[in-house]
Amino acid sequence: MKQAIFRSRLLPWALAAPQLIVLFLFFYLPILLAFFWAFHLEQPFGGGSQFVGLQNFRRVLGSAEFWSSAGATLLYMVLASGSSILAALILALAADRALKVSPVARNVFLWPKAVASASIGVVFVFILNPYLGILAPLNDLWPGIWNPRTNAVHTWIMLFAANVWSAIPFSFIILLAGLQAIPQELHKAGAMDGAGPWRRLRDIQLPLLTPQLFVVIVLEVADSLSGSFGLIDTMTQGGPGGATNLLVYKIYADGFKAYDLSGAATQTVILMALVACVTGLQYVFLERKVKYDR
Amino acid sequence: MLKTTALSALALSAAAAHAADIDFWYGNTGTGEAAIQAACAAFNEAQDDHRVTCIGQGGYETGMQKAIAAYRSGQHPALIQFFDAGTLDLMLSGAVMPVAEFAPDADWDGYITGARSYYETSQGALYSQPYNGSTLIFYGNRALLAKAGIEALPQSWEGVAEAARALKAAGVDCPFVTDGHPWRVLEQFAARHGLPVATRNNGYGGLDAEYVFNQGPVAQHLQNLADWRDDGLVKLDADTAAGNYATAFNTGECAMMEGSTGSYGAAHAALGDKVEIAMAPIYDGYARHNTLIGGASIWVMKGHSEADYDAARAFLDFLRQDEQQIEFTRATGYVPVTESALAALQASPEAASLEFATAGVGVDSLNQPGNPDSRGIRLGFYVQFRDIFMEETQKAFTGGQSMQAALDNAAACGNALLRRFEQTYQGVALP
Amino acid sequence: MIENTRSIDRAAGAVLIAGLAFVLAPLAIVVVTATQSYEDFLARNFSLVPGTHLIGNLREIWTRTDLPRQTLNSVIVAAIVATGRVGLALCTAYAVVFFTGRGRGLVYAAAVASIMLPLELMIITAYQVTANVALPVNAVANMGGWWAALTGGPLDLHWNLLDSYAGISLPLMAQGSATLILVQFFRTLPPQLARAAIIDGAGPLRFLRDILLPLSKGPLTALGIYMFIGAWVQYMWPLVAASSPARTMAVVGLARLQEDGERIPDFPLQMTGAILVTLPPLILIALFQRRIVRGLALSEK
Repeated sequence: MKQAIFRSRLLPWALAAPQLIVLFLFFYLPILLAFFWAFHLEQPFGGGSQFVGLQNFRRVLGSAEFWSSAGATLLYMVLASGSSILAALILALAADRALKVSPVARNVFLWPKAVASASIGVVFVFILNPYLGILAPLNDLWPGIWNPRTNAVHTWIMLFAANVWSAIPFSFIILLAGLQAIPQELHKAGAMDGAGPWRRLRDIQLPLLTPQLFVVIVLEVADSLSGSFGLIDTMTQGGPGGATNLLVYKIYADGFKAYDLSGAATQTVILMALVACVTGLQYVFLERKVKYDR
Repeated sequence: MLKTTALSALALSAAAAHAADIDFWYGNTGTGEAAIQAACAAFNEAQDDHRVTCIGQGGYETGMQKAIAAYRSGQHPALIQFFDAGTLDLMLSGAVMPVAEFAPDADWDGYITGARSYYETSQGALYSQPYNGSTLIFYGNRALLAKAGIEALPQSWEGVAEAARALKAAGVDCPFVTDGHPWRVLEQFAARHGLPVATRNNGYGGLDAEYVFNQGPVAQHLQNLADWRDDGLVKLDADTAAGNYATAFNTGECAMMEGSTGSYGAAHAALGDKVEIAMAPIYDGYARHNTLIGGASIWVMKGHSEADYDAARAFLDFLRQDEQQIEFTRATGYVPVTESALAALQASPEAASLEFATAGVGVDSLNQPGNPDSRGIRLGFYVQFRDIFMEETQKAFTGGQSMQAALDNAAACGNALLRRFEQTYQGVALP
Repeated sequence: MIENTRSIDRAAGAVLIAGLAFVLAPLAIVVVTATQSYEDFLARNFSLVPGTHLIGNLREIWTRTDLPRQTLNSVIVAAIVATGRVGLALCTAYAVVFFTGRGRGLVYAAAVASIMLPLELMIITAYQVTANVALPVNAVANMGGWWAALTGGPLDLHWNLLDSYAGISLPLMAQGSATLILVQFFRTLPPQLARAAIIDGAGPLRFLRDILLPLSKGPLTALGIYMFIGAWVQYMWPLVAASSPARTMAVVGLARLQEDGERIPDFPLQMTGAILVTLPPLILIALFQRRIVRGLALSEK
C-alpha cells in the first residue's frame, strides 16, 4: 500500500467517523434490521414481534408469485444490462474513431445521465402509448399490433428500450476511455500483420477492453436493479398480470402497500444475498484482471 | 367499557375550555383534498378552543405507511383517515380505539346501514367514523345508448349483455367498461347479490375465515366478464384508447360503466346531461341487497392526551353535522353518511341540483336490505389480496390462464395471507 | 488512420448518427409536445408539429402544481448530498490513505462494500430506521434490560427524520463510491508530498488544508457535480421518505403529475414538467462533460 505517512491514534478515526456513522445508520443497520425481521413475524404497528425461525423463508420460497418475480428479476438483470452494455460498446467503438460527429456524440451520449429513470419512464410511456403515441397509426392499421398494456412481450420491449436509453452514458464513458487507452501502435502492428478491422476488434480491442467491460458489467447489473424501480413504477406498475413485477417492486408493494414487513424483509434478504453473490464474485474476478493488465 | 365511557364523559366536561392542537392525516388528493382542507378551515374558524392541522399524505396507502412508521416512533397524529380495505388491519393494530367508546354521546345509530356495517365491530359498535362515503353505481351515456335504441339503463346483467350486443351492432366499439378492480367486480358484486366473498360472513365471524369467491355465482360472473370481453362486449382499462375506464366513459368512448359515485362529477363535467345513473345491475333471480360503502373513515389513534382527544371529539362532531356533510357532498360527489344529513339534503331546495345527483341513487343502494354477507369485508391483509386478485384475473383476461385457474390461485394466495394474519395477531380477539 | 478505412468510418458515422437520433428523439418529442396545448393534443393526438402554448404550459406548471417548490427541494437535497458525500469521502479517504495504523483496511472495506447494495434493495428497513434514528440507541440500552434496571423503564427515544431534508439526504449519502474514487486518487499522488510536509513541520491537518485540498480541487469538483446529478435523479427514496407533495423532490412530483384518470392525461403539461425537472442536471452535464468523464474514468482505474 502506498502513502501511510502520518502517525496518529485518534485523528484518522475522527476523520473517518462521520462517514462510518452515516454508513452504519443508513446502510448496515437497515441490513441488520432486514435480517431481524426476516426471522420474526412483525405486527405492522409494532404491537408484537415473535420469533418464527425460518417460517418466513419457507413461506416466501413456497410462493409461486415469488419465483415468477425472482425469474423476472434475473431475466431483467441479464437482458437489461446486456442490451445496454452492447449498445454502449457499439457506440463507443464508433466514437473511438476520429470522426466529425465524434465530439458531439461524446457529449450527447452523456445526457441521459441527467434524466431520472422515472422521468424517462413518464416520457416513454407517453411516446409508446398504443393509442396516443408514435405507434398509434400502426394500431389503427392493424389493431393490437402494439399494446404494452396487455402484451407482456411488448411491455418488456418498452422497459428495455427505456433502460438502454438511460443506461448508455455510464458504460459509454468507461468503455470509450478504455478504447482510447489502447496504444495506436498495437493497431498499426495488427494492420501490418494483415489483420482487418474486425479481426483487430476481436483480437486486440476486445481483449484489452476486458477490465472496463468487467467494471461495466458489475456496476450495470446492480444499477439495472435500482434503476428498474423508477421505470416500472412509472411505466408498468408490475403488469400486465405481474409480468414485470420485479423483486424490487414487489418488496416495495408488499412492505409499503400491504404492511407485510416480515415478508418484505425476507425477500429483501434474499435479493441482497443474490446481488451480493453476483457482484462479489465479479469483484474478485475483476480485481485480478485489472491488476494483470495495468 | 363502562369505565372508559365514564372517564371520557368526565374528561369532556372538565376540559372544555382547554385549547389543544391536533393533527389529522388524510389521503385524498384533488377535489377531495380541497374539500377536506375547507372543512378543517371551517372548524378552526368556528371555535377558538381547538385547532386541527390537516395534513395530506398523497394517498391512503402512503398515509398508512407513514402512520405505521410514526406510531412505531411515537409521533402519530390523533386522527387518521384510512380507506375501507384496511379496516381489519387497523382494528387489530392495537394503535386505535373505537369511536363508539371514544365519543359515547354521539348518535352512532344515525348512520345509514351500509356505512355503519362496514366500520362496526362484529358486535355492532362503530370503530371509526365514516367520512367520505361512496358506493358502486351504474353509468350510461344516453347518446350512445340511443344509437342502439336503448332507452333505459339495464337493471340486470342479462340486460347489460343484451344492450352491449345491441351497442356493438350499432357500431359502438366499447359497450361496457370496467377496470376489473375487486372493489367493483368482487366485493360490490357479492354484496348486492347477498353472496359471501369469504366464509364466516366475510370474516365478521372470526379470523379463521377462508375465501370462497372462486366458486358459484361470483366465479360465474367473472367468467362471464371474460367471455364478454372475448366477444368485444366488455373492455378493460388496457383495451381502451384512454387507458382508464372512467376516462374512456367520460370521453364518450364507452357507453356504460360501473363506477363509484365519486366519478359522477368528472363524468358530468365531460358529458353533461348525457350521463345517466342507476343502481348497479344484478343477475335475474337474485334479491337485491345493499352495496358496500367505499371511500374512507376516520380513526382515533391511541397515545394522546385528554386535551388532544377533546379537540379530536370536537372535530369529529363538527364533521358529523348535517351542513358539513352536505357541503362535502356538494364539493366531492361523495354521499352523505347519516340519515339526518340525507333527510336535510332531500328537504333542501337544492336536492335536485346536479351536484347531488348521486346522493339519491347511492344512498338508495347502500340502504337496500342487508344480510350477514353484505355487511362488509373483515379480512386481514386485504389490501395485499386486492393486488393479487388484480394480477391473477388480469392474466386470465389477457389469455395467460383460465379464469377459474386465476380465481383458484387468488383464493389460495388469499387464504395463505389470512392464515399469516391470524398468526401475526395470535391471541388478539376480533372486536 | 492506419489503412484506407473510409467504409469503416462511414459505418461508424452511421452508428453514431443512429445513436444520436435514439438519444435525442425522445428529448425532441418532449420539447415539441410541451409547446402544444391540451386541446391541440386532444384534437390531433400525437403530432410532431410544434404549437404555441409553451408559455401557457409553463405558467400552469408554475401556478397549479408543486413542481417549482419540488425543484427547489431537489436543488437543496442534491446540494446537501453532493457536498456531504464528497466531504465524508474526503475525510475517510484521507484517513485511510495517509495514516499508519490498524483498521484502515477495515474502514475502507466497510465503505466500499456499500457500493454493492443500492438503497433501493433495502428500502423497507431503511425507511424504518429513518422513521426513528434513535433505534440503535434504544436497542443497546434495552439489551439485557440494564437501562430499565437503572432507571425503572426501557429507553424509548424518538427521532423521526421522515419528511425532512436530512431524512431524504442522509440515506442517499450512505454510499461509498466517492470514497473508493478518492482513495484510488490519493494513492496515485507522489509520496514525497506528504514527506516534505512532515519535514516542514506541518501537521496532518495543515497538509490536508494547504496541499492536498488545492491539489484535488479538480477531481473533487467533478465528483461533486457527478454526485449532485446522481442525487437529483433519485426517485424511489424521495418517493417513500417524503410523502407530502411540498416536501418531495421534482422527479417524484413529475411522476405524480399523472392524474387519477378522470380524463385523458394532460401530456403536454407533463412534458413541460419533464423539461423543468431535467434541464438543470442536463445543463450541468453538457457544460462539464469533459470534467465528469475524467472524474469517472478516474473511478475505474
